[in-house]
Amino acid sequence: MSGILMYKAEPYYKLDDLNNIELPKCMYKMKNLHKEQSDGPKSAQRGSSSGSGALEALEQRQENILRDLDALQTEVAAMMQHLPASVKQQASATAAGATCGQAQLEGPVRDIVINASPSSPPLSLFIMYELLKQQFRCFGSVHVHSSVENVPEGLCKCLGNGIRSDLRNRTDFQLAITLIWKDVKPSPQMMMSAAYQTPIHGESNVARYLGRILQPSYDSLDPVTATEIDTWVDMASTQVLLGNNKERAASLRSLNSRLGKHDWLVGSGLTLADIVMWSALHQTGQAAGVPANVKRWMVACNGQPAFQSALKLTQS
Amino acid sequence: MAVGVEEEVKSLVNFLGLPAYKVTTHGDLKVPQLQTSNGRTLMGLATISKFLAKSSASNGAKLLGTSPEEHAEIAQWLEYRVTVVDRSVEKKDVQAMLKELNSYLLDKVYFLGFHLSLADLVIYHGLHPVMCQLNFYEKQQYQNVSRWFDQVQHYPGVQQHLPKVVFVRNSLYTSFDH
Amino acid sequence: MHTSRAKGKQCFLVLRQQQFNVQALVFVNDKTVSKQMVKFAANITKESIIDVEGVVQKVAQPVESCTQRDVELHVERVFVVSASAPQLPLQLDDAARPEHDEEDASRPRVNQDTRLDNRIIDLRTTTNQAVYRVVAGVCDLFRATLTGKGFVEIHTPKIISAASEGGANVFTVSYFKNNAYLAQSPQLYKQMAIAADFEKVFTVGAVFRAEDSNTHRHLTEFVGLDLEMAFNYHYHEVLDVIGDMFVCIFKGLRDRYKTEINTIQKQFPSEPFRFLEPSLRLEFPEAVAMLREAGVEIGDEDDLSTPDEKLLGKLVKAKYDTDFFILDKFPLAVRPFYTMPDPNNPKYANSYDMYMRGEEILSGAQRIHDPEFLTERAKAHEIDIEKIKSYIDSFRYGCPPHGGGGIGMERVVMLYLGLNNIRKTSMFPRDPKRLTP
Repeated sequence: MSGILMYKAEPYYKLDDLNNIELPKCMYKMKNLHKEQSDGPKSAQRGSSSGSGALEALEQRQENILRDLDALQTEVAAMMQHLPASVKQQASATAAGATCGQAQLEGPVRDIVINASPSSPPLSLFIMYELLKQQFRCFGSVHVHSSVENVPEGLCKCLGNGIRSDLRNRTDFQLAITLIWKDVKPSPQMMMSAAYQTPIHGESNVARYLGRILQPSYDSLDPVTATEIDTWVDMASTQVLLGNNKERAASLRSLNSRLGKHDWLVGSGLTLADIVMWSALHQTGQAAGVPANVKRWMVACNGQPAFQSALKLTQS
Repeated sequence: MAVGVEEEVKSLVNFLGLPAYKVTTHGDLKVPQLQTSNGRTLMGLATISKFLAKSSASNGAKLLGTSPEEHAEIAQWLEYRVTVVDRSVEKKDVQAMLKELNSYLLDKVYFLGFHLSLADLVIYHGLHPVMCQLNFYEKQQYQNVSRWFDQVQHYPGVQQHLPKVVFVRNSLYTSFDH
Repeated sequence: MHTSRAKGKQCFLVLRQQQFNVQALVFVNDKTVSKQMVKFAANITKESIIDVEGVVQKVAQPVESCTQRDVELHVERVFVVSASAPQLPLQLDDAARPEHDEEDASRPRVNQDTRLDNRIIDLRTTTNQAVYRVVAGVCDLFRATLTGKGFVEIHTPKIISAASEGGANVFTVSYFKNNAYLAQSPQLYKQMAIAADFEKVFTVGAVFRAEDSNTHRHLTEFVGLDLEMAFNYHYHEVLDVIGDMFVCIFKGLRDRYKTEINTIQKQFPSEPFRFLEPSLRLEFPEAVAMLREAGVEIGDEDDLSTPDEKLLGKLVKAKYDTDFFILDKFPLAVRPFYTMPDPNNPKYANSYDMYMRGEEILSGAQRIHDPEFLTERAKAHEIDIEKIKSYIDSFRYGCPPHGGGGIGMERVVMLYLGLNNIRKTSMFPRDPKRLTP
């Protein structure tokens, strides 16, 4: 810069000091999750107490799952590129609104359409619906598609009677779950916007989406907890719902060992992981013959108010 | 045809991160003219685009291609823009052009294959008014053009002042429609 | 008799009866059939009515070209009951040929005007026999469903003294020394029946619209299926009934008219009709949001244009996979003066449209049943009160709140079957250019 210096301002940032920034001295120093994969299983393993053989098998499984998780996350990041700005804003708004009392959602009622096969109702949906009702003005309606016949009465009324008993307008609500019984493969399938997305398959993915609408969103918690939840949700999906007998047995062993020293799958309270796993076990007919710790956990789940409507469906 | 060609050149200048140039249009055909910093006047969209890309050391060089074949392909598409895209006014010409582009783009992400080039930018600007007029049935018919167009308009820095063209991510029309 | 073909000592006949046909064989044998009889059979003109006596025989190879594929008739006696003129104005095989069949692309097809000019012969195709059975089925299901819900069928006059809905599109008839008009809709009389304490009524009758529109979906005369219902607490009781009625019609067609629908699909293939039970109901702001997502610019209180409706139909189909849906809570500004406004939101009305495959088939609402309020709304729409005095007077002696709607029978069948022209579902259609047959 040439010329006479009129005034000189102090530089705002001392750029050369960046490398010398003092890190706060915190209680625990967490190993960087993204740097080394081998750290992952160890941090998630804090609760396991079985012998070394089972431990190694568990470690291996966890590693595989985390690798799949990373791949999925990059895919989602790529998909995020294509989202229009307003949807991205919504996603950050809901995360930001985590501390507000009344949850916020843009636009007239957001209608989430879920097509599911009546032969395998996605139980986690009903549990998530109960949780959503606590935070949003939410209603559900159930339809039977013309391509299926003879859907049992209980399934036709499982989300309440829609808003007919309320006689309010649809647009007075923030959120709607429209469940359509239809022969879809794979079941279930979710559509929110015909313009912006192609159908999303898989019960665990539907549960994750609903889990992100809830506040706080399940993956806005600290990364380790969020990853643990994802791990159990993945296990429920790939190894219980879609797995063969060996995988199911292995999952039961993992569950049993985790639930030996803990009441819940992740942390110290009910999370998405418990909901999806509970649903998967019921849907594969394993609810009866589970090991002791798992049984105790299932009874605890059954006692939760959010589980009541789903529980009724398992008994019909 | 070239109502927005001045804006288009300015948009290219911005995309390349170059300082502003004086751009005017000349004559009935509205041929763009650019004044360079050393007083020369350049005429013609293809010429100006290539000049701008060459002037931008960091961003522009990649857009011009790396091999003689790529240079030639880009020149071909710049020519296509002026001779075909800008001159397709009648409905049947536009449809013929879209059909041709649709089959060309079947197996390519961008015009030159897998990397953005000057050809994509110039054809994007040329096709923008056409794409704004298409209804969703036509956008589905010319599915590869729609896919390419959506890709390019989302590329950082390309869209600028132009309105975004909306595409629907599901097939709305079946073989029984229309 | 559909066709006859002689081959030496044998004659192959195809006999047709409404939707079905069967192969018949006349061959020389010592006891019953002579050579002259074979020649006689070969010379019977197409479309003649004949009586045939014979023995039904199983066939070794299925007869591909007939609906009855596993048997044929060995003829012993044949009589001509009513001979047909030898020159037919159109060939039935051409009339029954699928429009877009690539294999037969070079063979002739019969265009619509020729068909309509020679309707008696055109209606004999198996496809048309099936179509009009489906039309009858829709009427039948409409009546049965509503009667089952306690509705009473009424019949309203078609010759009326004043144009009911706006003066523009009415036919005038000379009525002795004066003029009278043909009713555009039974609206006025349905409401009078409600005021006359009939609670739930429906009517099936002709509707006359003097619109000079030559489109694929307009007729000047069509059959209207209309209903009107008094309700107790909320007009959604009416919507529930109408939605359920449609579901019953669609299910009835799906379950009981399978044969007919398959026959029709052979000549006019289309996507099968899909619907939800209970019927899908969306509200106008949701529709506006869906259209805006797709880049359509539309104001909160704008009416939907026809292309908007078609696009909305496609978007709803992509999201919910249904070809039928109800759109409730239209903006008040775009509805007729007798529509009841929404008590909670003055910008909207208790008014709804219903769509099949993206085309509107019903426009209905809760009606204003209070004469003072009705007068006020009419004034707001700048309507001359004198002209509608008798309409307003019908509510002066007590009238329950009510609502309803009406559908065009031909249009519903056309859209259900995925046909492209309403003249395919009207036996003897009337449009601005056609008055015969």
